[in-house]
Amino acid sequence: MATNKPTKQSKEQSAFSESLFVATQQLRELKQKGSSSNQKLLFNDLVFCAQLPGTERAKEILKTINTNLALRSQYIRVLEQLCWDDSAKQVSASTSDLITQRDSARFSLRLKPDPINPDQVYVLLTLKMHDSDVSSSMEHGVFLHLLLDKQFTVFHFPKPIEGTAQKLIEKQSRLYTVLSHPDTHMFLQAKDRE
Amino acid sequence: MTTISSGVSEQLQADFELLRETVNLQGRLKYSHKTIDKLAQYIVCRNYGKLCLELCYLCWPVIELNQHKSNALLSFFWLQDSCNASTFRVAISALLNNQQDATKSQGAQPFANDAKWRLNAQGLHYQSGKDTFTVSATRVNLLAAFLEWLLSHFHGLIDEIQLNLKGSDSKGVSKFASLLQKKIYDLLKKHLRNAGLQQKYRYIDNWLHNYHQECRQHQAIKPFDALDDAAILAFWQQSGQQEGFVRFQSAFFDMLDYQETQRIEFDKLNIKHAHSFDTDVNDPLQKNGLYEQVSACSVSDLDYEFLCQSPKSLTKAQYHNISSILATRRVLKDFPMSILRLNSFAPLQAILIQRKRNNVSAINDEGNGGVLDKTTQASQHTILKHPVAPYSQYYASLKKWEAIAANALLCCAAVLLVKKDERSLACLLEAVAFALRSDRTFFTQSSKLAISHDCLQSAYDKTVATLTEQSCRNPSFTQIQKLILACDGLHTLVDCAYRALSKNNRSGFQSEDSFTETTLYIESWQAISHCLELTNSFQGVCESLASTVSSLPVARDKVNEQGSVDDDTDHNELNAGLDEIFRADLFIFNDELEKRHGDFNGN
Repeated sequence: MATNKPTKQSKEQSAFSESLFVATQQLRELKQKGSSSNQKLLFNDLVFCAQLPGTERAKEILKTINTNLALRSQYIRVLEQLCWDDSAKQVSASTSDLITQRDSARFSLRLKPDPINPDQVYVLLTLKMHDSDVSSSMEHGVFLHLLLDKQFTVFHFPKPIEGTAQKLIEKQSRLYTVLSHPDTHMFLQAKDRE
Repeated sequence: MTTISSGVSEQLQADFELLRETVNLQGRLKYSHKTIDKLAQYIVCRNYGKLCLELCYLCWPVIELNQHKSNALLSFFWLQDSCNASTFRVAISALLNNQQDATKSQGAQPFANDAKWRLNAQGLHYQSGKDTFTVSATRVNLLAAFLEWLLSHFHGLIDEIQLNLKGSDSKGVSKFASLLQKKIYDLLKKHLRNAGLQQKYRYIDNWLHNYHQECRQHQAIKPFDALDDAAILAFWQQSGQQEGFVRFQSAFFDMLDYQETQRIEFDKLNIKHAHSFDTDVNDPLQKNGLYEQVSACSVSDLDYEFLCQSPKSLTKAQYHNISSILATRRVLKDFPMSILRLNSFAPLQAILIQRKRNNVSAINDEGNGGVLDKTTQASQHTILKHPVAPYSQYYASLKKWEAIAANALLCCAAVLLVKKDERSLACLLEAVAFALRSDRTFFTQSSKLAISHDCLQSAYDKTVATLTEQSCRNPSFTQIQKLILACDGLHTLVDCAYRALSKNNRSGFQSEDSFTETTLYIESWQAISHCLELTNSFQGVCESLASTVSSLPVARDKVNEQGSVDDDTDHNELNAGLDEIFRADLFIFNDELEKRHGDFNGN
């Protein structure tokens, strides 16, 4: 039941009632659903994308990351903290020179032409340090997060056997360009689960 | 669309919507809706000083106890998801044990100032000399959500926290917390806008004072008294040109918010803040317990949307059917006509506003050529397809809703029986009582229960008589099992519940494998019971309202005796009364909506 109110309130109480009204209204707005169509991501989304990049949700998140500089910077930081190892930009005479091999502290990557089909290339991953702990963490394979020209791409290797894994790709594909480009920054990440 | 009177930026609204939907790596909801609502309340009340300090005292040991890890915070909050009380205790316990092992093997004290952390009944306790601080385990979900929100605005915060807290002491932690508070203060200047809402408050205040003055002058109309349905309608009609009051819904809820703020007398509350580390020590809002006062307002509590999740008792549409009653539960008897008007006319007004927006974008869109786009055509079609529902129809839908809710309650009772929970008997009796009171459709859906109203009533009466005879209060489950065998009435009720459950294909009810935790069914039971009480109460109010119009006596007493309005004459009178009120309102709203949104009747 609404109460009788005097026509005049003390200044202080009136100010407080006004503040209470404003806070209540703002809280009501924050509780509304479906009110915004902003494309925004939380930190949790970046971690999800880094840990489960094969999922459809992660692919959608990556599209958003690729359109936003601030998110990309934050995502790089997340990958740096989660990756098993990374390989930064390589030194080369010019950016037009492609690289068929790169070495980092814990892995190396080699691009080897398919002797049977010249349009295809083997991508060979070799882990330099692998023990039973490492092998078990890579039970479901590994992901290579590739950053070139402000765009992330993800490449999946099956589970390494005795420290090596390989995959066949098309030489004319964008993937080959990214894997062989000296400016590509690579982050190696174990696949979390199937 | 952001209006001038909107007090919150679109970005902040998006933040909180995202937070509510955040799932962990296992696909489970990471932050409860209650947590996010609480966080929102702290933010709008600008009461985040203690949150900052708690967050720092939580992050500090996570960093210090993980000295070998560069991703300590990321691992703790996101990979391990140590974000609720139980997972937090497990994670901290592991860290403390590792630290003890490391200390023993090295014979060294790893922390500055001989600081110590330990887990106690409340949570993570820090003590170093006279300095103490406890991070309560029950606050961890809130603190994790707070960190998540902060990271969406301060992208480098994780690194900043690690840099500032590693190797720090309690003074350093407090200092960093203050810096964090200052950053948030500056951030919220952009996202919380008070000016428009203050203007709105003063407009309502001024209008109401004038309205009451007029009422006092014309004593024949009404005494100077309370806000009522007539005042709400008059306010809406007279404020059509005012930004923020175009919708009847906005006018109604804003007036309710105003009324609530007047009702709360803040000098009755003795508010103390345990820690006050405000950078703006002159801010009166912090001193006057705004957070606690907002907690007392109806906007702060009662979110039963979990009933639409697993275990799924209601669909979203079924929940939406009673959402206006939940939102106005404290004033059901004061504003029955406004609630009916809200249910009937607000959806139409929403369509009209959307149509106008679509028309504007169609005009702005080059090459449109004046032809309505598909969205606008669809909304035109919607208006024709779904004319405004009369009040009698809403009343009837509430009756049907009661049948649906009673069935859901029966299913909860059945699950509790399967789980051998002693509270199953109380749940079952309540479910049956509601079922007996609900719409006849509960019993005509013979594929579900295969029992008549009279049989169920008889079984219920026998059960109650047996329990009374045996003075059975709070029986154990073993006693319940014996009662089921001994009392055929109870046996019938249990059979009924199991039959309802067997027909239920919703998440959390399909099979024993899909059952979730017992507490969720108990919470669902409590929520559904509350909703049923409210809908029943509102139906009573509608019946009283109808009787003021109808010349024949109210049918309420007959409803109580028989459990439903099965007297056709009384039912028709009720509908006639409600329809008469509706026709009068239709005339008013038609006119008013045309003024605001243009002709929508195809004239």
